[in-house]
Amino acid sequence: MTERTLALHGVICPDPLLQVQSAMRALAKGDRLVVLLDYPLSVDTISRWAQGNGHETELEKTGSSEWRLVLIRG
Amino acid sequence: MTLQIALGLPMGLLFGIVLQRGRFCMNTAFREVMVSRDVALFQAYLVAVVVQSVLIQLGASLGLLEMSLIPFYWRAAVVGGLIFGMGMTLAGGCTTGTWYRVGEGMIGSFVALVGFGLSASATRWGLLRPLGLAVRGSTPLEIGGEVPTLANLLNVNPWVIIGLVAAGVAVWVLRRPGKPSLFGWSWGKTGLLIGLLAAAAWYISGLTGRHYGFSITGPTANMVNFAIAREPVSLSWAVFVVLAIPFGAFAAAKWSGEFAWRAPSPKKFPQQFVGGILMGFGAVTAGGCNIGHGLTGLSAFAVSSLVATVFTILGVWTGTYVFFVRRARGT
Repeated sequence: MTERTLALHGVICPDPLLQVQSAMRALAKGDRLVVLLDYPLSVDTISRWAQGNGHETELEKTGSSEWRLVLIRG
Repeated sequence: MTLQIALGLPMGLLFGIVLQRGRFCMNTAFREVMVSRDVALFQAYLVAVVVQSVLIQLGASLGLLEMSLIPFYWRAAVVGGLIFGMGMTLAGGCTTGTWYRVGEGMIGSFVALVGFGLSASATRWGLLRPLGLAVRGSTPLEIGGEVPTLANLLNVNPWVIIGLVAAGVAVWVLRRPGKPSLFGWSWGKTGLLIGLLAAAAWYISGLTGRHYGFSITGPTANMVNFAIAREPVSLSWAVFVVLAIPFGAFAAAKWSGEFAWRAPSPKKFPQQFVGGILMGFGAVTAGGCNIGHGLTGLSAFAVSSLVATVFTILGVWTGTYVFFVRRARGT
């Protein structure tokens, strides 16, 4: 199982989701992608996409407008 | 101007709060339908249009408000809508999206807003005006001397249109509802509240003698030109609504732990600035933006607003594909 981290501070739409999609393609089932985000709408679009595509998600708020979203490739 | 200020600022504050908590960005709404088949924000938008259309039709029949609509210059709606939509993708937000993000501390959106305000004003009064008018043409299309609406175009009662649209939207959102936001408001709540506010906007704005609902582009152009050239000589209700949006969004972001000063990498600034310029030119040429046409005019089923909104959506899809998706896939 591998874990990759993608820091997306300051990245604006639609790049966060596009970068996550391409990072997830490179992972195998069960691998984890840790996404660091500072924009709430990106958290929503990425988790909605992940849930719709069979990936598990774990979310943690790490600061004022900062989140750590873990995607587990399904 | 006291009445405009007293009635405008509270509406703008409320609008800003709802926009921020609902994350109501129409660039995202239109884009994600294509990119990730995520329909949540698009459904919020449609709910808002339906709620507003029912209430303003009711208000008009009770004599509470008057509906004046945006004239239909077909080329303006098509070309302006496309340019506006493509600009939105580069700017990183629609007009309301850009205004409320300023309140969340997004410096990139502030840069986009400066470009948008300058070019909207330049298209209305300045250097870009001849170009905008050339795109628009000089004769609006009318039906029996009136601004075309779906109702007078199809020669049916407006309630027939409202009924059909409401039924269509209801079936879709109930059968295939979008996923909720994780910690913001659900699309249903957001759509309902935006629809209620937008309907109230028609009535409240009417009290100041302005017979239209929410709009963003005209007021933004007005405030820039007023600051620089004192033209127009007085400011409308809508200007104060728009000015208050970032403050409402700031309060909402602050109390929900979502405020932070954020800036994209430096190379994004020119992109967002150019996006703002395209938005200003496109929206003024089209006669409205995602709010003046997309939210307000569409709820009155003006043909100008329908055509401009359809082409704005096509512009967003084109811009998203050409500027972002293609590049991300490296093709």
